[in-house]
Amino acid sequence: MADQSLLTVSGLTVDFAFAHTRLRAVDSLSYTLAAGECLGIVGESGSGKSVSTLALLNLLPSPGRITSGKITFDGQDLLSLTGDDLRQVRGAKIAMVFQDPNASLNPLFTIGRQLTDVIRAHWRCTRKEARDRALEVLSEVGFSDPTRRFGAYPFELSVGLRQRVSIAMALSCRPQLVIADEPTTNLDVSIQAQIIDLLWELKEKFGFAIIFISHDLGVVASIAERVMIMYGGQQLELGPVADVLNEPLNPYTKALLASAPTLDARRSSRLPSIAGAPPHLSQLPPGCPFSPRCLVAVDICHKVRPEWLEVVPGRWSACHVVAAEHGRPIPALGGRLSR
Amino acid sequence: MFRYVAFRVAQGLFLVVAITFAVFFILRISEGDPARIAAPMAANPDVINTYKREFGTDRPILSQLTTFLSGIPHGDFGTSFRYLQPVTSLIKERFPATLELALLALLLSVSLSVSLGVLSARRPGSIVDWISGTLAMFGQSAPSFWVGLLLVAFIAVRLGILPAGGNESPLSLVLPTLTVAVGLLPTELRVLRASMREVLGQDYIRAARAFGLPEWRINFVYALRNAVLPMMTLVGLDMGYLLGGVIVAEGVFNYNGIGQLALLALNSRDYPLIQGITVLTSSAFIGLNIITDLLYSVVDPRVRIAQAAA
Amino acid sequence: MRRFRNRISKSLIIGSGLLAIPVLTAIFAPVISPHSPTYLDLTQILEAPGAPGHILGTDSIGRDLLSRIIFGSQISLLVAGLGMLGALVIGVAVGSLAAFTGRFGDLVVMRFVDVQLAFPYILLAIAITSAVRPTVGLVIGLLVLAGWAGFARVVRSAALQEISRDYVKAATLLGASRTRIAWKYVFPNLLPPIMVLAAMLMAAMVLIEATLAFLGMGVPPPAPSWGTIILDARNYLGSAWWLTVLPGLGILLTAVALNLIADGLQTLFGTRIERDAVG
Repeated sequence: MADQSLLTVSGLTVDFAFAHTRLRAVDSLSYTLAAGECLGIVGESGSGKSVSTLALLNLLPSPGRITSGKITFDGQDLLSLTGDDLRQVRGAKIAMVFQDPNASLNPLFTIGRQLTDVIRAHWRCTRKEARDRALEVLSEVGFSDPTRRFGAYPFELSVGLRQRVSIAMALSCRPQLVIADEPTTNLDVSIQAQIIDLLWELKEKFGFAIIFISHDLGVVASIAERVMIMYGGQQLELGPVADVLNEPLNPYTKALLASAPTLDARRSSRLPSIAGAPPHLSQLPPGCPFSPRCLVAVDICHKVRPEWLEVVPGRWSACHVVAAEHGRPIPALGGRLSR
Repeated sequence: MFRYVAFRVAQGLFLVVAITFAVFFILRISEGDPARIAAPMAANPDVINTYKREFGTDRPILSQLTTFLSGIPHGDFGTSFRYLQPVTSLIKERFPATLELALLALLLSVSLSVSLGVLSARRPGSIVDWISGTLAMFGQSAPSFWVGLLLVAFIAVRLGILPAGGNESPLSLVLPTLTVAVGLLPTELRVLRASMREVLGQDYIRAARAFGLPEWRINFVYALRNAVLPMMTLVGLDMGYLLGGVIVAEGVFNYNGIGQLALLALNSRDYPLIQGITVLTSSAFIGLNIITDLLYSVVDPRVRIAQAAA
Repeated sequence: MRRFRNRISKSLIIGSGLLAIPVLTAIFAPVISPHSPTYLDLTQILEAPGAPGHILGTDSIGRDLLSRIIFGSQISLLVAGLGMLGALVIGVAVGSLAAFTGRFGDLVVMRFVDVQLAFPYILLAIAITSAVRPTVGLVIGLLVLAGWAGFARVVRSAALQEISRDYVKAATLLGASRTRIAWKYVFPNLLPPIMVLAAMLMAAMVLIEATLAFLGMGVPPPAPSWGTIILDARNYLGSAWWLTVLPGLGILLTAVALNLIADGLQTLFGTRIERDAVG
């Protein structure tokens, strides 16, 4: 069903070339996204989740470069776009909402001005038309009196309101895809819920797709339809959210879920945590990136990188053990898994 | 807000008064006697005393002070010893010329430093960056009077393209303006480059790019406004340096402005003239300082709140 | 000290190398100078560089330019150096005073500093020089006047920053007296910015001294300050260009060397000082 997908990423690889080392932030990432779908990407810091989406819009900070891969969006090859074509995609077809609203809004300009600038960057319209549209968008994201707030500076608004403004800026040109990069991480829990509900409502109303990035499984569970787990720059699991959370395939996903506190756990039991620490990108093993900390890792896991396989229809995994459990032959060993 | 302005103005007035008194007394405790300088050499004591009576330097200091102070509200700063004209009219005559030079030089240096600063911050390590760096180092290390002299020697005298001095034609502004601007450029450039580089790394610039805003707008409207703030403080502080540069340039190019006047007054111990120039310039300058301060709040809304609270 | 080794930049090395030239020239002036700077030879006035016995030419009364430039380095370096030291002593004292006294003392002191920094220096110099007879002492005094405020401001903000650090609070809680905290903890951390500023200001003072000399407010003749040499050559600008260009190159070289050293020190110590503290 690749022809139906809004976004197809295949084999995306992003490297950062520093003076003495080269770090591979994203390694051969592949997935598809259908129109109007919400995909969650979950991973720890350094897993490559943010970088992979920055790559979509060619916003990689230097010295980052896309070394290989193909990204197709709405029939267009995104990586070949430059100049004005690229600018037209940014904000108008694919929009981003960043983590820290403090940092993504310019402190010296009013929110109204920043909104209208975005609108006028993509549509030829008069200043009044842009202003009207901006007011419209502000009320869509929940401002009860947009006109009053129009001339406000970012520092005059609360953090939650600022994040709404960021969302407004993202939606102002009716994009087909909204990438939300940890949009709730900096917010209070109560406001978190509001923002997530807002995003969902808007998605239902306007039909855009969402890529929701977070390190928090719980947050992702409340909005995503499918979820992808990333680690060390590589994808480890992908599937419908309910399935992945209730019956995780990949050992990393299982460990992640086990370490999340649950309401019904016994009070005295210790919270299990994953032994070890997330890998530094310069010290990745040749095989599966999680293998040093994996409890069920076998010899081949450390040496050969697992293939990204659809082990069950709709569910993907990169793990030798999982592959074996589902009867897939392991090419390197000629078919059998040995312990 | 109004309270803040009033406070600053009061502060400024206090400073001007302090400076006036300081200058007055410093001059009077001097060694060189203006009467002796103005009088022909080896003149007999009677002639010198006549001069003294003219100048008023034979009276006790306090009485001289009262005469001086009583004249100020009327705009009368006394009569120049050397030119025998009212100080105020002498200054008024030359003031526009100096203002012209100062403003042109400021304009030139600011536009140069802004363009070079933005371009080199966008592309660190490029040729533009290298040029700005070298220009800044040169401007910082070469005495401006020497630069002016070089310009006169090689462009005016050798090539004969531009006039070497004086005020006759508009062209005679070119070399002095260039000289003064070269002196201002290094600091402005450094500050702008540094703050521009810092601003461009900020998240809100990345966000602006993510929203598809065109590059030129991001650089010259958004980033620049953020980067300009430290630059404005610098320009405010630069005023003193600007005036110094203008005085030197006027000396080098025989440009008929206040700086030239001050230098000539220096040589002849022309008290009223020196006093007048010092007091008037320092007031103008303190006034400018206050204005720049207030302008700051126009650019940065966060400052308005702080000022209102002060 | 070891951690400083990799941060020795090109600027520092080149600057120090360049500075050696005027410094050595000044120290060995009597030895390396071909003539006395005041020796007149009226038969050889306004000779161009390359004339026999006068590598860099002569001025309008037959004095050898090279000798004058060589001895001029003594004046420039000495006067600028003393001026810088004076400014350093006074500025550091004032700045520390401002930082260690309470709010009010700080405010009063810094007002003076701000005013002085903002005032057009040349005008002040003109006013003072017209009152007092110019001597070497006066010139040095003028230079001190130009520089002390910069030191004061930098020292004050650096000291305040250090004082607010946690280790100072810890020491206070443990009962250390104010002076002990000042000497043992804060001052050592003030050395880097002071050193950087010293280099920067010295460069500025070489320029100011030359400018004052050119405007007639410098060290009295026959002292061959580079600025005075250029002043004397004023009327021969078009004809005897070497009298203007060459001493100026001396000034340029010295200032560039000092500025490079200042930049190198900034890289070495990791400080970031604005250059607006200079007249």
